[in-house]
Amino acid sequence: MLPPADNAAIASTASDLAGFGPNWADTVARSLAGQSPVNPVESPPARRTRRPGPPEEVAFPVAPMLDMAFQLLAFFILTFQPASNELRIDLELPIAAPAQPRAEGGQAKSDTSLSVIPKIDIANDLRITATADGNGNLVSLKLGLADVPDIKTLGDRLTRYRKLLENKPLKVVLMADPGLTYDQAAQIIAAAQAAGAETIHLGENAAPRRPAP
Amino acid sequence: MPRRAGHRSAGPEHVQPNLTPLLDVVLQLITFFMMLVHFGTQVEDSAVAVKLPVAPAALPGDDPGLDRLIVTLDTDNSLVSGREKLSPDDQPGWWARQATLRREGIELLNQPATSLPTRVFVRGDRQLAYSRLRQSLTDGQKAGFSTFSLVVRRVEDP
Repeated sequence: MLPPADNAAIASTASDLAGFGPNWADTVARSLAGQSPVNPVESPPARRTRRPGPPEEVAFPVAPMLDMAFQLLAFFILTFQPASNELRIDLELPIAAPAQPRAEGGQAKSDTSLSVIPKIDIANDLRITATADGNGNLVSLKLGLADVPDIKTLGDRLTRYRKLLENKPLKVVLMADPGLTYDQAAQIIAAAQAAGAETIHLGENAAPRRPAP
Repeated sequence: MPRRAGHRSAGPEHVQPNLTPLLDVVLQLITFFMMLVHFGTQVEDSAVAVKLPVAPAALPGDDPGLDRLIVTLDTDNSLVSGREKLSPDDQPGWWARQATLRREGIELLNQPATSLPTRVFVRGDRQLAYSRLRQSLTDGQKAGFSTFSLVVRRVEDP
């Protein structure tokens, strides 16, 4: 069982070991092999299981989550709308219900005012008069009877007027030449709307340069 | 020795790319697009090429609603809506038809059809004459539409 070198070592110490019982040779052989005499067989597997290995990496399955994330990303990219350059000028042009039966009679009124509103509060209605040249370019602009150099000034004056009115609604009538370009007209309407005009009536000058009443 | 240690795990190798950074970026992108999403604020039917007027003073409108009618007023005085192109003579009839269709729909829901809730988006070319715009609005108003929106541009296109 034992290697020959171990047998020689055992023989040299045989006299000192007398009286150790029938298993003394096994005990000595194990001590010479450098193993502990108590649990020489069980210790190696026990050490192997208790040894703290490298920290185990728990593989979290990211791939399905990534699949879903890509689906969502595709959805949002496809429905993405970049910030629009377009604005809206909202016009409320209601048809007053009582005016409906006399719509035939009110026909003439719609020539001067687009909104069929029974009465116009003259004291509170501001008239903007816009005249155009043959090409449709804005030539002159009037707020009431006063000349206004440009549309920006018109907006400023309307804003000031709106503040003076306090709680009263600002009503504006735009009287423009038929040939005026929509570009200019839209700017005037937008200026009036930005100034806080509640209602904007759209009217037409019957003849160019008709004096404002 | 190091070579042997390297070959110890030989076999069908499972290469697992690290997807976590990729997922991070994707989630960032999703957040970005989610923040910027707008549903239904874009006015459709903008395919007809008209040069809209530029009016920076106009206020950004509120929710335009879903009941919309988009008309485009061309420089040759025609009205374009969907695939229809109408000359000025046909326009009052067209407005009346549109109003009738909508009234019938409202009456099916047993609601009073005194005024139409439809918002009419008017996309007019900037060279359009003011009288043409006004005529179209009047036609629409006579047919029963009461809410109009003039579509303008905030700034000139680059």
